[in-house]
Amino acid sequence: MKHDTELERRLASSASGLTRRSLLKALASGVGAAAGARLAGPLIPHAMAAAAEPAHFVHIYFNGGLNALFAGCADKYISAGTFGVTSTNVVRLGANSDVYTDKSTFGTFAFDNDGKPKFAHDHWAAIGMRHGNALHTTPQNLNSGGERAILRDGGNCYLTQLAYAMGGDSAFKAVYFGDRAPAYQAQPAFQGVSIQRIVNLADAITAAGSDVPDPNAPSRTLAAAALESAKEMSTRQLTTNPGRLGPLNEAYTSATASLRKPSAKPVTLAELNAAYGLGGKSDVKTYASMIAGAELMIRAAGSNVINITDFGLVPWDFHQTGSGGSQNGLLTRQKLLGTDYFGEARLTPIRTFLDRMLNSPGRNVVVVLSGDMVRLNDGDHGDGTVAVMLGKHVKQGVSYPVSSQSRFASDTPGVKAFWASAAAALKVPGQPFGDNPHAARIA
Amino acid sequence: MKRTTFFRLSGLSTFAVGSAYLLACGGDPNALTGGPGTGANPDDPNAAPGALECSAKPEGRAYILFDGSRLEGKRTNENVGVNRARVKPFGVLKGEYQRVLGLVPPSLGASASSFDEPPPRWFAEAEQSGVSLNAAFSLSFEGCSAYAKTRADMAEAPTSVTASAVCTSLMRKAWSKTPSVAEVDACVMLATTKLASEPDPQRQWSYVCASVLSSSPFLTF
Repeated sequence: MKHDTELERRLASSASGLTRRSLLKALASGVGAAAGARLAGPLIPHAMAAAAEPAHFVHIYFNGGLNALFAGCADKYISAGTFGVTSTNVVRLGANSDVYTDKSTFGTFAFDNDGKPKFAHDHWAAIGMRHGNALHTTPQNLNSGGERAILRDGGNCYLTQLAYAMGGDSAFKAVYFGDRAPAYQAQPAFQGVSIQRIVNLADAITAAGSDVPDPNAPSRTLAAAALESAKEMSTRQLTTNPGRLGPLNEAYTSATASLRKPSAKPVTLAELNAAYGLGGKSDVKTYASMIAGAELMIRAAGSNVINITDFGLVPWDFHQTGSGGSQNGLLTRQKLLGTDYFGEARLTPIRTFLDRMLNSPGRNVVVVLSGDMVRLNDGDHGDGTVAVMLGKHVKQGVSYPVSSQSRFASDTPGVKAFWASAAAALKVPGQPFGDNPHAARIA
Repeated sequence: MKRTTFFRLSGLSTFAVGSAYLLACGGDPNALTGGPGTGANPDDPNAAPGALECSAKPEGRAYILFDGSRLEGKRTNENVGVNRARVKPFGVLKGEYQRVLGLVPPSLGASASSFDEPPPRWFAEAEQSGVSLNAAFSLSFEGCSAYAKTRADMAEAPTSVTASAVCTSLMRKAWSKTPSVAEVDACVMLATTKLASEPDPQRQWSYVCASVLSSSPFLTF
C-alpha cells in the first residue's frame, strides 16, 4: 500500500503491523481462491428490468471511519465543541435544513466559492446506518468489522447484488478501485454479475472502445471472437480451477461482451487528465485517478456500481487526542485537504467528480460517501455510520442521525435498509433489499 | 553458546530420526507429488463434476478445538491437482513471449501498470480482469503480427489442415502440454470460420495466435 506521508504510514502502521499492499492483495487473493466456484458470466439475462434512465452507484469509501460531523450531523457538536466544531467552521444547508457539515471540506460540495448552492445542496441526505460492529475489517479480521458488515449480505455481496438488480447491459456492471478488494477479499458474483478491479485508465478506455480506432489494432468484433475461442480452449483448466481461475473466467466473459458492444462515446485520457490533474499518467496509483476512473467507467462502460476505497490500511482511523479532546475532526479535515502531514488532497477530485457527474443529463448518478463507522466523542469507534447520499432523486435531510454523544438511537435501521434507500434513489424496480425506512429522503 | 549448539544438534537428530521414519513409512513413491493416485483425474476433459472432490479419505487425525468444532471441519473438499493454477505475473511475460514467439511485443515494456506489477522486492498474486485480459490480448496480437510475418506457412489463409497443424503446434509450445482434440477444434473453428471477415491472411493468423496466447493454459502456471 502506498502512503503519501510518513505520518500516514505511521498512522496506518499503528492500527496493524501489516501495511504492504501486496501482502493484503496476496491474502485477499488467497481467500478468494478458497471461496469456491464462480463460473457464471456477468451477462446472464435476468428478469430485473433496467431503470428508466441509466443509473450509476458510486461508493466512495473512507476506510477507517468518517466522522458524522462531515456527513451532515455537525450541529450535534457545536455546543460542546466536540471534535473542534464551532458555529463558524460548519455550514447549514439552508435556513430550515437539518443538514450541517464541515464548511471548508464537505461544505464545498454544496456551495461554490461565492457561497451559492450547487446541485448537491438540495440533494444531500445523511443516512444513519447502525450495523452494530465497532471493529475494522482488516486482513486479520476478515469475517467481522464495519466494512464487511456494510458490504456483505450473508454469502452475498451488496455491491454485486445491487449491480444485478440495476440491470442494463454493461459489460462491467460492477468495478472497484483501490489497492485491495472490497472488505479485503474477492467478493462473490451474484447471478453472474462479478465485481472487477480497474488498474489502468487507458486500458479501460480501450476495453470500452472509447479511444480513437487504431488501424493496426485488432478489430473489436474479431478480438471478441478470438477471446471467445480462447475461453473455449481454456475450458478444461477453468473447470478444474473454479476458485483460482474464477476471476479469469469472468474476465473472458466481460471482455468478450465489452468488445461486442458498439464503441462508447469518446472519453479521452487527455480530458480526464485536464479535469482531475492526473499528471498525464493512466495507471491508478493516485486518489484522483480512482475518482477519474469512476467518471470513465460511467461514461465509457456504463458501469452500474463503482466502489472506491482509499489506499492503505484504515487510513481514516484517527484516534489521536490533544488538549481539545479528539483530533479526529482536525486530522480528517487535513487529510481531505491534503495539508499538514498529508499528501494528495482527497477533497479536490471528489468535488470535481460531483460537479461534473452528479447532474449529468440523461443519467441518474447516486454517490455515497461513507466510512465503516462514525467516531465517538473520544475519537473511538462507533457501531454504525452516517452516509452522505447524493443524487437527483435524493431529498435534502437527515435520516436517523447520531446524538451529541455520537450514539445511534435504538431504532436506527441497519445495513439492508441503507441499501434499500440506495436502490430507491437509483430507481431500481421493485425492492431488492426490502422496505426503505429512509423513504422520506427519496423523491 | 554450548546450549545453542546442543539444541541445534538435538534438533538435527530429531529431524534425521523423523526423516528416516517418514522414508520408512512412505510406501507410495508418488505420495508427495501426485497424491493417492486414485479416483477420477481432474485434468480429464470428460471428467464428471465429482472429479473436483476428494476421492480418497485423507490421511491424518481429527482435532477438537476449544469451541468443540473440528479443526478439519472447514477443510476444502478438493481433489489433488484441483485449484492450483496461478496467473503468471507481468514479470515473466517477456520471457514467455520470447519462448513461444521468439520475440517480445514492443509495447510490453511500457505495460506494467496494465497488470498492476508490484514494486521491486514485493509480491502480489497476479489477477486478470476483463480490462487487463483485453490488454493482454492486444499485446499478444502485436507480438503475433510480427511473428506471422516471419512464418511462410502464415502467408496463406488458414485451412482446416493448416489450422489444425499450426494450432496443435502453437498450443503445445505455448502451454507446455498437449492440447485435447476439443481444444484444437476450438482453435481451428476460429481460424477457418470465425475470422472469415478478415481479408488479410497474416492478420487472420495473428488473431489465432493471440487467441492461443490469451488462453488460460498460457496465462497461468
